[in-house]
Amino acid sequence: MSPDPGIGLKLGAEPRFERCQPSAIAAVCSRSFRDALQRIARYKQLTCPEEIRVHTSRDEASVEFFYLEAEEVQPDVLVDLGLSWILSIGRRGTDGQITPLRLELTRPVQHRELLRNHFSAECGSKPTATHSYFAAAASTGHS
Amino acid sequence: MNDRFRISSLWAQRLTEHKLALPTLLRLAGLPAGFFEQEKIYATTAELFAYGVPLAR
Repeated sequence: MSPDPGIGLKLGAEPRFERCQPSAIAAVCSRSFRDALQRIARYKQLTCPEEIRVHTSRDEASVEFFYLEAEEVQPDVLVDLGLSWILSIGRRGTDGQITPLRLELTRPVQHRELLRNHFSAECGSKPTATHSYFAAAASTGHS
Repeated sequence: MNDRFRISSLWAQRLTEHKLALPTLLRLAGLPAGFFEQEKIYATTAELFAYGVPLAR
């Protein structure tokens, strides 16, 4: 329907702060990106069948979305939308300090340049992974 | 947990801003024509996914 391969990325990145959902505004006002992710994860846990899982290792934190009631594979455009949305919150809340280390998609990567430009990170494909995610340095976004 | 997502009415506005025809999108997604005109908009996971599929076609 849309000829733009970046439509999911664009829909996820709301440029006007006043139009953000209250949960996104609360996340932007968090102390750190990690705190923001926890707030969003808590909100989603309380309101809808979706989870945001953050895996933190020593050097990096990865962010994944899980639809608990999903019986089908998440459409690619919604993957892009979700990852773009969470990144836009991180960037807005940290004055652009959040830069993903990499983006891993479960689908074959198309439009690699588009994804690289949007996330400022290399994009890989991990067909064996259960969900797509992006990883950021664990120490970024702390005030 | 109910299988229910609250959808912002601004979604319709954003889709229109990106020059996406709402009636076509809703028809392809199998959603009712008045989906975005409800006072409070809710969608199941299946409906949410159905909405996403035709977007990138």
